[in-house]
Amino acid sequence: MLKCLTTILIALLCCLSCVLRAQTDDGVQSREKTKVDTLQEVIVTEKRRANTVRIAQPLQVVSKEEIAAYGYGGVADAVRRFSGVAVKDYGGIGGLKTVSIRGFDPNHTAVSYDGVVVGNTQAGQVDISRFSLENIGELSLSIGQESDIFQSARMLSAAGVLNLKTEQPDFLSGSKEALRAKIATASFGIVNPSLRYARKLGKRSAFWVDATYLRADGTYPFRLKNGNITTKEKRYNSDVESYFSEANYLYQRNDSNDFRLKVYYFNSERGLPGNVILYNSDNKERLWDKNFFTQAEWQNKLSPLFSLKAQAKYTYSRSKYRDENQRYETGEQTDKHRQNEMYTSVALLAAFSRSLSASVSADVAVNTLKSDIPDALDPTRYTTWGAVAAKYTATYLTLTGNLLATYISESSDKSEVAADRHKLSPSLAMVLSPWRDVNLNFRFLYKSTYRNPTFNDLYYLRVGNRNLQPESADEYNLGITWSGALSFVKYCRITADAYRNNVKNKIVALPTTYVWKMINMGKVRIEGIDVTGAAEIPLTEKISLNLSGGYTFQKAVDVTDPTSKTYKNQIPYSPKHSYNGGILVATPLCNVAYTFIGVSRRYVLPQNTEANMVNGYTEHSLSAHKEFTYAGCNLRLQGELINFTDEQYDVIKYYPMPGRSFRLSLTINY
Amino acid sequence: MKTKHLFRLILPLIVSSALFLSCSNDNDDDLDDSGSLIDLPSERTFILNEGSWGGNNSNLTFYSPETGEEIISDIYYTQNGKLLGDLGQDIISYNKDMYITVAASKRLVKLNSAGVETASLSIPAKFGDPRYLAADDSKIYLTVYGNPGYVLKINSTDLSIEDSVAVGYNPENIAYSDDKLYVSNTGYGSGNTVAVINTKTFKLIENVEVLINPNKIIETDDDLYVISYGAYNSDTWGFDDMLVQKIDEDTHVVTDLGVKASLIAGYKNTVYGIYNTTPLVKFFTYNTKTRQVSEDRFLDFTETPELTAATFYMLSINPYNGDIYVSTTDYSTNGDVYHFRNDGSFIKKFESGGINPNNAVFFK
Repeated sequence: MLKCLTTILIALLCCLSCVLRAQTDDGVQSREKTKVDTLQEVIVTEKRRANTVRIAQPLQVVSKEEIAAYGYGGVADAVRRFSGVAVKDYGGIGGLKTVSIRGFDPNHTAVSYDGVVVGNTQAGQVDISRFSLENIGELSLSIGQESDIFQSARMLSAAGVLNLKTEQPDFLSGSKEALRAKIATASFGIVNPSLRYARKLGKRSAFWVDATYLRADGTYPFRLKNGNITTKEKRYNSDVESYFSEANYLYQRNDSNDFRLKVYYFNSERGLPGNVILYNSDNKERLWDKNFFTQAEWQNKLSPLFSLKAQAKYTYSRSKYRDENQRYETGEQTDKHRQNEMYTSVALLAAFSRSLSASVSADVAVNTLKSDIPDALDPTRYTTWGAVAAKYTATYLTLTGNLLATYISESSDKSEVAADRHKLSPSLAMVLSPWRDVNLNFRFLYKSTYRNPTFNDLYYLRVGNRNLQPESADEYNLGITWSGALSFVKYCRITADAYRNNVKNKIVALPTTYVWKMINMGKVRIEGIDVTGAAEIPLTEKISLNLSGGYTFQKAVDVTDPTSKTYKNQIPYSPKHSYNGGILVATPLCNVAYTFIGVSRRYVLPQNTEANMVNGYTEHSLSAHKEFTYAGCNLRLQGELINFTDEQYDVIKYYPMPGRSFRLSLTINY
Repeated sequence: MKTKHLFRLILPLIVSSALFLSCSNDNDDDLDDSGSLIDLPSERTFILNEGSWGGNNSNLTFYSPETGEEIISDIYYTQNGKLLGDLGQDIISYNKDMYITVAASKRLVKLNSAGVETASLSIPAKFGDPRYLAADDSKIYLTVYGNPGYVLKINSTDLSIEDSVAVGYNPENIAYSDDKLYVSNTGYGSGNTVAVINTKTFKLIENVEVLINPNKIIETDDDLYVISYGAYNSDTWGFDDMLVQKIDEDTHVVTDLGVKASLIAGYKNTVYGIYNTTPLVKFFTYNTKTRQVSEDRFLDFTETPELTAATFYMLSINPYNGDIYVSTTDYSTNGDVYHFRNDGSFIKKFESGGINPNNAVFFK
């Protein structure tokens, strides 16, 4: 085994005799729809598409094949192309990347990894840069919530869910083993090898492991504009080194009875380049992260009426932050944090008839935080979620409703903690499909949602405020969707949604006379339109053209205080216009893709003055790949030219993004 | 260049009326406008806006006190075509020039009286962030962070560092009086001394003990006045004991004046103080001759009632006529500046060109 690996990695070509069938499709459909398939029996001839049309909640899906074809560079790069999404990217190779949906703070976005929510009770937002794209089978973003009511209660608590589904191996060719090795290299000293090994254990179970390594110098050039002067600078202290590994075990009696176990480990060290400070490029902040979790899921159809799903997860994470500066008493400051989460969920689904089903679910999580900063409280949080949901499906109508109750209490040995909090949040969604043979649908969604104050909001040094209440929001969505074929278009999909979000009791850092404090006070009104479209056009027998794109208009304004200078000003980092698109040409020779993404100008601070403005940008990229067989191995060679117009832009002001760069990768399937 | 045209139009008017009103007001000798891209009136107020951390949005606002009409929101950019940097901490005027410390950008800049940069200094890596300034005898004195922190002696012409002397941990404000420098050793909240340095020998001669966490320090009528911020009170979210103390210049005896202040400034025989507290802001004046404290408000808020419960960020007094300038802040939008006469009567309110206006300097 090891010998084989070495051969592959060193020679980068494979001389072994077995062909593993090329990746075709893995789970583009939700589990609901795959009732007839079992793992061993999947035979895919036609590309399946996720149902994003006949669904009440705006859902966007990108599959592994699309990710590969368009040449997206990471989870964040793929996610930022979803409409209505803003990925806050603090630049650099290892920079923090968080996901905001439709003008909400990132804390309103739940990130789910293979069906289980990823928690961060300390800061409340999940850094998606720590997930590897290599083992992702599908990424999806649902606004509101998923249409599947057979979910954990916690999944219902956010304004939107980013789902990361890992790729499940298929053993179609009858071989018991599969091996995939990939080596990628890119500008700025990026080296990114990864490996996947899968093995079938008997008839019903399998296990597979993934490992990815990433390193980068991260020193990239950028152009700095200081008033009327533009200088060529270099981004320093942006290096990163990270390891990621994951092991999975699956036992599947049939499609509705399975058990899954996962063990995940991530370790990284990175420089934090910070924001560019004019006249001073000396930044020494560093961050070390370790993250371990193990999760298990068991699903069983107890009877024709009842199905049961149980999940359990344990997470341990630690981070160390270090900064060097003369202002600290010893010339440096180190902060260490350790977080633990124990989580379990049980969901029961009752399918009363073909059209009516209901579910009840209950989740419990215990979170702890230990910090070595002075006067740290080391709090423990107990959260209980309970939900009931019902779904009615008829020919012309699908109706989904649920009610979620959340109860939170906290404790600490060291000091008084926040009072217990509870929240009741209902949601209702409907899709009307008036025509049987035309896939034209109208959808409506209302959801009451909230975000809890994080440990930092409540307890962090002088900033924290233990009197905080949850920040609450109402989401409304009205949409129209269509998919079908036109004369020369094999497949076409269009969705258009208008939405409005009202945020109340927004948790903001407010300066009091002497210190900044977290306070419930902001009111934000967000109104917008999301339009997405996709089309597949066969040009000739062998050449096909795929088009996809999205556009968002968003007015997200502060409506807290009519006398304030920021009243009805666009809230920070919410562009009015954002857009993205892609063209993919598949030919027998090779596949070529062009993608672009852009936003209009944004404001850094609540007051919309020229000084607070950061310019809009458009980034264009090209990707090409070719698959071929060599010495019995299936090889894929891919190259990308990223930001080929060399646009100099910031997502967050003074966090310059890299200009033109390249990436090359070779994948070997054995 | 809209402002330029405006000034060209208005300037003859100002000049002629100035000549008419007082023929002796020709003070071009006090100004250096070389390299200026715009014409400025002879009476000038420059306000330093600190900006917000990490925003590179510190700037310098010009205001003409004579007419109250001419405001250039960022005259540093207008004159130099670039930005001042991140966190403008302090500004002083000395002779015909202005000196500004930009803390996070770790630089000291020298501007002439029109705001044109004539020299700049990057603070060497061995020293921490530059903080506050004092000047005397062609030398600029600058405190820099560190443990120990330092006072740097800098040539006022070319900004070369001539000497340095170690003081306490993270020194902040610095005041000059009679061949001595007085530096508050904040200790990042835990210090309790004011370092005294002899400017002739440039040696530390004494650490005067004061209340905990000394910060603002000024010289007025030959004595020193220092605010010790005290300890942070987590129940009231603030510093409750921001006490003003007087340090006798000759004996270094410290006297607690029994009043609290967040900001202080001096003019002739009076020390003025503003204490940011809730629900209403408090004020005091101290007469250095009679040694009497008055807690009467020294500004008339009839026309600006919003100031009774604002957060004040600046208290600066024009040394030439005693006009009082205060600013308010919400820390995230452009601050407002209020111009009062020394008798407390209101003249003008305007929005500053940046966040957190913290200090003003004047050319008459």
